[in-house]
Amino acid sequence: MGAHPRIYWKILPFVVAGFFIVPIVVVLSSISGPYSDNWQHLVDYVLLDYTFTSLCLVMGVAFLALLIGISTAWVVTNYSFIGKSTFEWALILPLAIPPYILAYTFTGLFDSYGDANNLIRQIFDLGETFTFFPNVRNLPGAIIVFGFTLYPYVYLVTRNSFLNQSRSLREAGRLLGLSQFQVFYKIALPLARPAFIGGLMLVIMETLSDFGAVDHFAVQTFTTGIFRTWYGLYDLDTAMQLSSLLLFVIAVFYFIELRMRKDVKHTTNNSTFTMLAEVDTKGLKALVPFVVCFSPIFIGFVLPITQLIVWAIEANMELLNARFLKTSLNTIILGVSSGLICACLALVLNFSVRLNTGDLLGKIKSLLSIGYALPGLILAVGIMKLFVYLDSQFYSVFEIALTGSLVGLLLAYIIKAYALANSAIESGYTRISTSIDNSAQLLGSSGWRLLRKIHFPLMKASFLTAVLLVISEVVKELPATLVLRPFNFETLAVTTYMYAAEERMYQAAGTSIAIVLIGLIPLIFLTKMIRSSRPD
Amino acid sequence: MMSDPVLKIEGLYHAYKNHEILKNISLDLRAGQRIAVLGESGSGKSTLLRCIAGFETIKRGRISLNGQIVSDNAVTAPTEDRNLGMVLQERALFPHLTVKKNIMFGIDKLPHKQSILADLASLFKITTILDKFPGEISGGEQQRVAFARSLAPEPGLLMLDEPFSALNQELKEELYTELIRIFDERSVAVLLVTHDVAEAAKLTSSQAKLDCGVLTNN
Repeated sequence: MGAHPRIYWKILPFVVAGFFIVPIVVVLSSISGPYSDNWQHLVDYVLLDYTFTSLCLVMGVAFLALLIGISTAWVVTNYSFIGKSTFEWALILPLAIPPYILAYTFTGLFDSYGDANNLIRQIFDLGETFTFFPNVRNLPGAIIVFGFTLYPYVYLVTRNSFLNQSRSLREAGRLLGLSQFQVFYKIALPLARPAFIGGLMLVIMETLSDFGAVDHFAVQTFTTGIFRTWYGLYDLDTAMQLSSLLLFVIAVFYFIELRMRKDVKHTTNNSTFTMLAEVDTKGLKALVPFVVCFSPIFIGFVLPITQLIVWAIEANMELLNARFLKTSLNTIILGVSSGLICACLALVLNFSVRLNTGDLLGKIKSLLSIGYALPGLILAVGIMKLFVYLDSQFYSVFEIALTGSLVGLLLAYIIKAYALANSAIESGYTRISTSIDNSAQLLGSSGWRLLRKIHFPLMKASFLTAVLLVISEVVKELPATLVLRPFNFETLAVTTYMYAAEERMYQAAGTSIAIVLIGLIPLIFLTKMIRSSRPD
Repeated sequence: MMSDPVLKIEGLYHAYKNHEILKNISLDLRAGQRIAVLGESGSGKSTLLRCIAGFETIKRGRISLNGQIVSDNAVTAPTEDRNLGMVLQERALFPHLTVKKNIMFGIDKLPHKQSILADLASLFKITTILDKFPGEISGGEQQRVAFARSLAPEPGLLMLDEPFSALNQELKEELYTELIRIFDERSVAVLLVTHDVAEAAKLTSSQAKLDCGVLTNN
């Protein structure tokens, strides 16, 4: 496009990329050593456990998320049944529940003296030692929690892929002698493979990044290992070395996801696209798709929300105390600040790339979105190490300490949530024709004036969406907040974690409900998208 | 002595990657003169205008405006410094600004902007829609606003990129007559690119043909 963008518009993306990459480089630099005795201890006694448990967790979650995500996507795109139009969007509701909150409610429900077991004992007049529901504080429990909160990543992309598959392809299959089920697994499923594998990679990255749920279930994974190495052994370098290992694993899944995202374009509809015809279900047969769709919503959303509301009522609204108000205020300040910074950065960087088309700038812009794949804990470790170094060098000059300040926390949030803001702004920019830019330039406006007078007013809605999406992510974030927060500074997520760690579930209900309510914000936008993607 | 041409193009080449779009284009355009460049879609007409506007960095040759070199091997002057007007087929009105603000966008620092606005509004017969947004007016009105907005900064050269192709014949005829009068009154140089031979004949005094990137006199 423009042949004369000012030089700072070209440099800006590189400067921002520098800030984003430094913490990762710091973590990776730990590989070169030195390795302490603690590292040797980890290798000798626990690393194999971490690896094996993480692998089992990932495999279990992957299986469950695929099973739920694909089956629900298939059912809502191919069958007509009661509540179908509601299920289409309601199936993403579990995304509003962070895995650690589902974990807390599951233990509250299914522990030996949890509400569910108590209810069964009351109904059937059984002895106090009788437990109907098995213990959930273990690996299978964690698999269920992650499976039921993260399956929407698979559902969303697979549903979209099924919707984009032409009817004629499936009809060709039927004419060649395939049964309905064979059409599903020989034609529809392979065509949707890039989509659901891309979604699955997100599920795996989220699972490997989680700290709150695995910690609550006492499942030994890489993240709990990193946390304990730091907080238990006070060994930041070994924690970074362990982080590097996890980072390599996550990088593999990240690149598979990127690759699959490209492949999705090759398998979507072509010019001879014909809409799919839905199969009508009646009587008892209609129950099957209903149950398939209702079960994950019930387990992943209705059940935990109900439990939280019950706890809140039983706590007699005492949860609306000074601590709740203070943590809410802290969270809002951090969320809004991060949201505004991310949205401004995304706006300015997208504007810069729009002015300076070119492969390199485009790649830099994509690189900035890498943060969504990074575990918060690894980011925290990198930022902490960086700040410790900067403080040791410059504290005597500026007399300001970065360690333990809100700067680190904000940086972690911005890196982690930038991708969300970027997607909103990027999509807003696709709706502004470049001829608008050309007209403004011909009328003497370029650079800041073009951004301020033309782009920003036209992008207000996208900007607001970007801010809200970031806020919802920041509110849920736990591990980085836990590590980087200033002394005695609490957010909703941290307070929830601390109450849950002390088994004070009634008190945790208020903060949990607040987190879930804010987490519903991005789902409103997703719901709109789902509705508009529905074939009429 | 004859003054410098408003637009002078000498030996212009332009290419996307290795594909040459414009080949050895030379053209002179003087104040008050109106020239049309005719060509099929894909012939390079719009690219020629984009090169003149500075949206593209040219491969070889030279473009001068009012005697100043604005594009050559060493220089590419910013679009906003070229004092050009351009009207596009898609009009590109700013949707969040009223008609009045659209027209004043390029002149909001001038002290006599209100009188310029009043003149243009009466010239293009749009006085009644000044407070409306582009989405609230018809296609023909939008095109009048686009012309008024382009002429507001009093450009030396006005470039028209198929500006009438989205209008019906009746509206076109009405605009042709008015525009010729306005262009003559203001003595503005006009470079029109179009595929419509009749339109070119009505609006301009001479025509050239662009075929596969090569410009020939018609």
